[in-house]
Amino acid sequence: MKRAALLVLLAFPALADIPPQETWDCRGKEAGATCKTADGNAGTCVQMEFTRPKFKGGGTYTALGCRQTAPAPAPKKAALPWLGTGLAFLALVGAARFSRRPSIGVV
Amino acid sequence: MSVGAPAWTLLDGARSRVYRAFAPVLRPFIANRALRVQALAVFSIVTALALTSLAPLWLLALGPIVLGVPHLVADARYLVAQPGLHRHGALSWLLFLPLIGIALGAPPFVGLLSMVPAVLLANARFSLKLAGLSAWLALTFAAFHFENHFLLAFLHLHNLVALAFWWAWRPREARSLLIPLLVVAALFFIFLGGADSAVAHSGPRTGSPFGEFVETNAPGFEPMLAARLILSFAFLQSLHYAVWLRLVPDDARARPAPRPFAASWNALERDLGLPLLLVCVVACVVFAAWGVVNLAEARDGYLRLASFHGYLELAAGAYFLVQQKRPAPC
Repeated sequence: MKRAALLVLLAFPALADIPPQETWDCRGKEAGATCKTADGNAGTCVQMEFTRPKFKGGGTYTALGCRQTAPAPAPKKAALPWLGTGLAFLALVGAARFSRRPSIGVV
Repeated sequence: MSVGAPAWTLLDGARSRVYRAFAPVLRPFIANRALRVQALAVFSIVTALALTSLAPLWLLALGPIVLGVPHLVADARYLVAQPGLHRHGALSWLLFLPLIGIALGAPPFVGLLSMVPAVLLANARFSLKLAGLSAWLALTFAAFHFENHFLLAFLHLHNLVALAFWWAWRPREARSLLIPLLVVAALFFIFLGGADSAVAHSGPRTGSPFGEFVETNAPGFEPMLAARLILSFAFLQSLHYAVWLRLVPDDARARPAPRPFAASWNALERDLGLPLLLVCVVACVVFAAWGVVNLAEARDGYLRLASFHGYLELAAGAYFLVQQKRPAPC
């Protein structure tokens, strides 16, 4: 148990030196290059701002990180209210079109 | 007396003096509309390509600030006011609702909805309307399932829609084919790397580095291709402005010869109404002032305001295509 605790303590500063996951696939690449995000989605290397842990002196620094560009899996939910609005709009268009049709009088 | 009458008198006087001084050279262009429009188109293509090759970032940063609002005014004038797209009752007013939705941040499939009333408004056979609605369905499917890819394609291709509008405005002579051929040649020049050197040394004070344009307008592409896509966008956007501000106005005018500035302002006032025009003038001044304070923010602000106009062009295009009629000259 003591050994495990010692291992964790020794590993902690080393963990702090690991660059953020976002930068992993942009190492040696230029801004604008394609990359894969940590989740495996397609992305582009862009300058990102990162925060240093307090015990490493704190503050921020910039580095190339991978920002996702592929369609996110979730926006369909956000689109739902718009989908409803769209359907209501189509119903309105149908009503306007129908009311526009000239009536045929019986002679 | 019209708004700004003294300014128009001054400008008209200056233009008359230029015409008189260069009469032998300018006469054929003044008398012949087709020749004049062709010359203007060639001049626009050459200038846009030169600026793309020399200072693309300035072109991308300043273009929307200086010419953005006037080109929106032209959109409203030539696609809505002059053909009377807004004069068909409730259905025609419904056409504008999705455009308001886009300005409020709606996804692209909402903007495409404006195609539906536009197609139904057209005075056309049922089969043509069905074809128009099928095109709307196909675009909606793409916009819904591949939103990011659709937006990227729309961003780059909507600049070409303006060229298609201009081409359709009047019957063209065979020599007019020079214009699309020149555009294709310019795009070849850009995509084969002719303007690559411009990426390295332009516009450090525009507030938007090249990487930022790559991130927003060509994300996910291999760096070289992304840079050339941005350069092609700068070129086509400039051409888009030239089409709406020079070529279409010249072709849409009933009078073949150029008219005095005062008469042009009066015609604009007749088409759009003074209140709307004054709002547009104020918007121009606001964006110019904002650009002086923060060019990048002003550009973003304009792009948010203008996000609807691509869908308006698409809806109007669908209307004219289904109706199989050229946009009527005034």
